[in-house]
Amino acid sequence: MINKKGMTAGMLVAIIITLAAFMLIASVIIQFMTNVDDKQAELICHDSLILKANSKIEAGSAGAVSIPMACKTLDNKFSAVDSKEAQDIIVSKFERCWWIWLEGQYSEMFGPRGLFGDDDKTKCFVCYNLIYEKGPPLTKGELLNSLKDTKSRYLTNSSVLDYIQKNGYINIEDELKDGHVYSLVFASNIKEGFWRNSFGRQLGFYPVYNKNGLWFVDLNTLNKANPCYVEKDIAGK
Amino acid sequence: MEGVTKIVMYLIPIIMFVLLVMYFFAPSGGVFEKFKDAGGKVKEYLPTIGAEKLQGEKVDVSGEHRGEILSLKNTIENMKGKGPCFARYKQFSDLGEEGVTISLNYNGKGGSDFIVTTGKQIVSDLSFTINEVSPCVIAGGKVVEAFGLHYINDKQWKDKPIITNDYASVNQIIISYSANNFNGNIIRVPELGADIVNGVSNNLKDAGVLYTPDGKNICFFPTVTFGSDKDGLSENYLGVNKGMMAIPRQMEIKRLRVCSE
Repeated sequence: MINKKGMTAGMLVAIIITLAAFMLIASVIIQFMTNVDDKQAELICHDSLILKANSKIEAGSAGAVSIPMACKTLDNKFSAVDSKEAQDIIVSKFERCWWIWLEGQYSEMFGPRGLFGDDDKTKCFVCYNLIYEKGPPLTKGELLNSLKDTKSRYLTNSSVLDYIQKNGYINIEDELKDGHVYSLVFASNIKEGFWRNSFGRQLGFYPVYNKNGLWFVDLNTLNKANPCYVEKDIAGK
Repeated sequence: MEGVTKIVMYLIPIIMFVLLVMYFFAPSGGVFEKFKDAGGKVKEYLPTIGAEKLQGEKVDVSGEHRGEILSLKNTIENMKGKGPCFARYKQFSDLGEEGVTISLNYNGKGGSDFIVTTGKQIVSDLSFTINEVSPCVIAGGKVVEAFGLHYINDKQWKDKPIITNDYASVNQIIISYSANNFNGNIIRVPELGADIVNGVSNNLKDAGVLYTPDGKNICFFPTVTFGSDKDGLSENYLGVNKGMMAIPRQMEIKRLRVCSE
């Protein structure tokens, strides 16, 4: 009897210690992530995603489990004297976000959505909120041309557009204006299956999100239209 | 004696180490090899570790579609600064198989962005900006009526009545394929809403005809099967039945001015 009581008390203590340790570690990581500069945050996020991708375990109907990501949504303010400068800033963020997210190589980084993955709305993460303070308006075509004409730092002899489209796609608002906040979003793919997409293809519909993508959308649109389920960052934002 | 004990103390772990190495990694197939084999079998029953990788592929369209898209681009380029006149590009074959979409977007800076996608990916070498042009359509009740009065008649070019407002400037035109109701290529104009053009299936039987009233607006022809209406001209006037009123026929016999001449 005394032994059982002792064991129960011991287990309770162990659980409390584990929880306390977890909370301590979590708070240290959050504290660390909120204080690091943007470059460090990008590197930590990139490395944590490598761990996440390599530790992902598909456990059948139990779903998928993996190490959580340590990513932070970065808020960057910018102004530009001309269209070219604005385009350069945005294009560099496109490329960086794609690099952070392992060049869109991995399938369903956040796991499937809904029971048996039956939800067609994808999951996503906001890499950057780009606050366009002052500058000329930009069109979708201008930004596309810039993505086409800028050489990639990560893929030799390729443009940033080719670098992204090697495994993914992009989606850009038709018009970009100063005084707006634009979110650069990594949108996860949805795995193709017989009932989804293959069947849809026969009916003339095309797979919507069978690749990872980068979306550049107005933050208001993202909040109102909810085109994807936004994953929270490490600070819970 | 103490020295001997020390030597033995060192020797025992060394011998143990050598034996273990031989046992596990023997060239004839040590325990490690056997364990590896067994591991391979066990792996089949274990859950997969590591996220699945997606297959990258080159973004491109077929040679046939490439030719048609370039033909459209060149035709538009050649219509710039001319007009009123008509021109023909190589009519699109079924865009369905590859999910090709062509969109022409007025960019607010005097030009239009020409964007070609397959699925959701952009075909970078077929996407470009055409300066000093903006898209238009021959659609909408009054526009179609005015265009018909202006050009769908048996008069010679110089005798065609002068009628204005025979086109509708728009910001965006999308050409793609749809399998809804009737399979075929479709043209869509988002700003016209559900009632005009956008509800009609297989409505790009345009024989590759384009019209410019002024060398700046480049007009596409959404079509309808029977009797011209708000959704566009009857496909008979675009040459499905080669009547004398059909635009391609009128272009051949010089009743309509051809931009390249």
